[in-house]
Amino acid sequence: MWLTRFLLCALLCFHRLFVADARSDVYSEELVIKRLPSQNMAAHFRFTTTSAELGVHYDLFPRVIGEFVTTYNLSELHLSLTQGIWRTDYWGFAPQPSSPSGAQVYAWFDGDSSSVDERWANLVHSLSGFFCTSLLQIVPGLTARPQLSFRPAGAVSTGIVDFSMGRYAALSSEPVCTENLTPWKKLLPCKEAGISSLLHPIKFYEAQYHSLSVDVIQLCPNGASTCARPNWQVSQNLLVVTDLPLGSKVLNWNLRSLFDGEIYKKCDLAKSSHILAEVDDQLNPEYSHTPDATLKFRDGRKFVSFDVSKTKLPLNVGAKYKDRLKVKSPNPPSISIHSYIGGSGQQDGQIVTRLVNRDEANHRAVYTHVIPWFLRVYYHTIEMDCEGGNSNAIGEGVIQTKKFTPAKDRGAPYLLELDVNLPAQSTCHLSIDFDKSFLRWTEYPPDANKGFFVPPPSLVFRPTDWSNVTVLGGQRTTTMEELNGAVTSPLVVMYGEALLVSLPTPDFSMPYNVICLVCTVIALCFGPIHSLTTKCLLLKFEDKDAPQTLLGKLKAKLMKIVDKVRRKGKAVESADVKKKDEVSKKTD
Amino acid sequence: MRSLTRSDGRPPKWLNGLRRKANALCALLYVAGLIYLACIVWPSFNDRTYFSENALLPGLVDDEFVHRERTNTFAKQLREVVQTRYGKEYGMPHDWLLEQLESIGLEAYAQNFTAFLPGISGAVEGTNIFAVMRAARAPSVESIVVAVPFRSNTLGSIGLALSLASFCREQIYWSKDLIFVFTEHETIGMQAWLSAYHRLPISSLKADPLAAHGGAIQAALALEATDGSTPFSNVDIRYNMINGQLPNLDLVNLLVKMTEKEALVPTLYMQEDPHGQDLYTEKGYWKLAKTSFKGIVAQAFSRADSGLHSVFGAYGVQAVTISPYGKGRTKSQGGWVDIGRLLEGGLRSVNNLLEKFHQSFFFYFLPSTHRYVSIGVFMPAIGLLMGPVLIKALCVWLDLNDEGESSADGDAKAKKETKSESALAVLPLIVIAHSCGALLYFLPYLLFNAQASISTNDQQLFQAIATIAITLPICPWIIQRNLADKDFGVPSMVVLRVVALLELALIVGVTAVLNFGIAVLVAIFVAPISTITIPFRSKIGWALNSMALVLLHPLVACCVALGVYTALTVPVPPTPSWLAQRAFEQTVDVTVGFIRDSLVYQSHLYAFFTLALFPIWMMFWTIVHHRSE
Repeated sequence: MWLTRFLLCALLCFHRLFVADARSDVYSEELVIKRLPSQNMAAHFRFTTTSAELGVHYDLFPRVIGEFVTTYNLSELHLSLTQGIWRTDYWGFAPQPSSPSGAQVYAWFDGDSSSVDERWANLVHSLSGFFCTSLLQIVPGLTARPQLSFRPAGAVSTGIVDFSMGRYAALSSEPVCTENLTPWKKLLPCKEAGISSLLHPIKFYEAQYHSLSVDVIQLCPNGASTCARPNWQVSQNLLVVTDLPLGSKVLNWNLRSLFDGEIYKKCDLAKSSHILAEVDDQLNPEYSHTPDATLKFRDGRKFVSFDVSKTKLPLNVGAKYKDRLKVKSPNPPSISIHSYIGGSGQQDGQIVTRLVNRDEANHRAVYTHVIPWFLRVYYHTIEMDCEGGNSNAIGEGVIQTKKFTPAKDRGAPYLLELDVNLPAQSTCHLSIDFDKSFLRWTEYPPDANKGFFVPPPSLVFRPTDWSNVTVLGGQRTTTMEELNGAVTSPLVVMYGEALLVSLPTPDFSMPYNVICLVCTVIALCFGPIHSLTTKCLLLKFEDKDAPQTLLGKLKAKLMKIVDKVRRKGKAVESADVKKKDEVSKKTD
Repeated sequence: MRSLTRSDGRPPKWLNGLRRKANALCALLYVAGLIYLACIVWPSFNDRTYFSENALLPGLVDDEFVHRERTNTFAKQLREVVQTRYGKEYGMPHDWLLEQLESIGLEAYAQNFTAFLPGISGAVEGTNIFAVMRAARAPSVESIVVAVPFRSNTLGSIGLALSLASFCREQIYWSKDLIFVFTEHETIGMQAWLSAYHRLPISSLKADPLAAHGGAIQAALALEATDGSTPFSNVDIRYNMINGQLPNLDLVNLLVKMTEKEALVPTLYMQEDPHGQDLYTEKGYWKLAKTSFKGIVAQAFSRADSGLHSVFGAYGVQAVTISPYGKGRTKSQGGWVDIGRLLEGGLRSVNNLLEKFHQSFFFYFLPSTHRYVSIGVFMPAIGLLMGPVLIKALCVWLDLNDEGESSADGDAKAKKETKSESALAVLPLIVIAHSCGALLYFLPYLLFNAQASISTNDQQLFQAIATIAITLPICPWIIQRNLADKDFGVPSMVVLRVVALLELALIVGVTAVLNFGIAVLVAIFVAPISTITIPFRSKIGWALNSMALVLLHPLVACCVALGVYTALTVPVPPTPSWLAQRAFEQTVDVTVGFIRDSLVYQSHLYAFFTLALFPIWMMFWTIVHHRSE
């Protein structure tokens, strides 16, 4: 008995050891902490799990995500949930993959192209259920098929991108809260150890901005665009920007102050587990835990790196500053995008996007905007006016390619994709006019007078200077990999502001009044119109003898009635007489 | 339709009765209308204000703004900067404001604008400073505006706004961005900012595009307190916007409630409410009546000079100006901090809103800060006052039928011809009257081209308008003389009268829905005279009627009204010549002001007078001066 127990135990231990060695899934985690140009602190968590195969057995790769991929035959999946907006002018380019305010989901499918719509709808339902979001309204009214942007970030099985296989949707009205964070956290292999032990919701929801995302892509060895057996990679990103310490003006930070916690335990499942802090020389910080830290350099930028698996725990990384907070004027990055609604009133308006290129060189960029069908935009009103210091640049900005997909009422949104050339040192206003449409009364959401959200436009471009990029790393690589020499992903995606448009809204609080008014009007109109159209007009000769006074009229009427009654009586009498006659005849 | 005809083609009996007693009925309706208007001010006939929008939760939070020191420091620094830079001639220290706003953690920007105004040679140039306080975690889709005009005597208000901005920046509960705007040149700056914010360009106002936006503006609060008026005892709440637009009553209620929470007394048109026990007394009634009358006049002739809030209406933004002032009594120690708390409370309530303001009334007038008269209550007054005009038009039309019937012994065909001929004969007169109105309307645009800055001053502009407005009435008379082949007989004048009466009723009826103030004033003063205007045969009647019409000429009426107002408000009894001069000067101001408002703020007042009222007046003028031969 004792022996068998011992043997079983030993077997189990061996098995564990064996499996750990032969683990095909790779999990790595990193946290990049950076002081933004505006002096806010940004913290970017990146958890990456890679698996060679998705199927029956799951090791570290989240099973739910694997099942999404296999059930709906996905080639790629991106989901982000964001509270607030990344303020590019103050904070620099958003770390990639970036995300707009609210929710954004896009996916690329494999297999049969005819069932993509159905699979997309089911996928959105599944995601909505799993992440506790209310994404259902994006199918089908907000789903677009972009061609120029939101292309697959990873490898594609066929090697060629088929645009009919991609679906994109954004929902700006989606509020993000702890109920979204919990399922997101459940996907991690280590939930209470390593870097993920810093994920405390209270601090995140106090912050100025936070965004969480799940990106599933396929990767080929050596970055090839297609291969026979690509690896599946799910990367989970969480980005937080904290507020400025305007009250205390103290710039010091550490893990405890940023996340309300320290790292007490390392994650044994992680292949690599790093905390990286970018050194900002101007403010003379002193980093704690310096003996354990190593310095890393890239493009003239300096990072302090802490390996969580090798440092003494508990780990509370931090920096102390001699200087105090001084709020600075913004130093916006070379390109920025802002959107707003022009016009006033209930009838029409204009979507305006301000594109600024502060660079010395012209920039090619792709502008994408998904506009809900209830704003009826006019293609011919697309206009791009540029003003700038460079005399050549003044005048109309150059739109190289226009791709415009018209909307279907309640079926599909407008999709506007423009390949634009932003002249050097210029400010361009891209505008498109719209009419507001009437909705059916059941289509208004609760709080109908709040207005309707329009997802923000996005701008994709290739920056020339990488020192501008806030956090290294992208869809395919982590910051640590890039510090170790990996190739940077070449594109930056940035988003404008979400827009709130108020549509003509019926007064839902006064249905009674409306019903009364409408009924009265109908009743008043109906009577005369009905009688005029159905009666025939006859010439009537005036009766000279007719009584003129009220009393006379009443008397005449009374006499008429009396006369009638009398006549009836007579008729009955005569009938009786006839009957009697008949009876008498029969008896005869 | 059916009620006016019977199957035998004759008017129904009740119509004959109406025609017989038309004059008495007209007088009765008119008097009833006046009495009705007087009655609805009495508290028994109107209601207490209440909050419709539950989300506002007014006054439920503990106000936390206590920064007396900070407020005073900002104001003191600003005064010093203005003093050292500009001496006695004040100027706006743009860079200092930008620096301060940035140092308290706001996104601060400047906006340049250039306005070309009639009556002012050269362009008016200015720079607005605005700062956006971004709400944490919010995606910048909604915002609230706090606006303060930069003036030599509003430095204290700007100090308070800066201090309030720094306080708000430290709070974490904002769901909407706050935008603080400091405007140069008062409402011109505000209009420039708003037109750029909504990208609605105005030809006479060139405004640079804004560098930042905050989404849909949910409400705007303008602050305007004169320096040196502390300690404040009262807060004047100004709500009239251009074109007679009014902000949602919930916003007005909110500010009244917040003012009272800070132990200050809210006023409308600097007029305190009657006290509780006085409400149902005669003394209270006169107070209510005075406030109501001021409200109606303010709505009718709403200009941009009543505060920064007045230009928000055109953009569908609910806005109110709060203007604290002291009455010398130091009963309550109202300082800047109290006003700061008032604003804080207002902003936090609006911040709670889930939807834009839509619940409460948009059409109302206020007899006091706590009582309102809604559109359902005041509209019958328009019906009663304009009833006589419609009845008269109907009777005159029916009389015309009867006249034709009785005079023409021949067949019906000839009768019809004379009627249609007389109707056609007045057509040129109608067209001429309206063309004269159009000429007056376009005159300022012709004289003053916004791009080519022809230097016209107020006087010249007014003279041009006055000359045309006064000489034009001769026009129809000359035409009558010269077109001798047309027979402008009495029936044609009667047709013209029907047209004029109907047009008047139509215009007043339509305007009443949009701007009750101007409609009711026109109804009170124009309706009775228009009803009795006929082609007189007796000299005395003709003279009296002409006199009345001369008084009703928009320019004359304006001059007389201003003269009467001045005579009533000036403490010392003025000499007639001084009074006349003063009234004339004010008329020039008001006329040019209307034109300026229509150019810069899209005010429709000048259009209403020239395109609607003046043609009607000319038609009546023609009727009176018709001489049957």
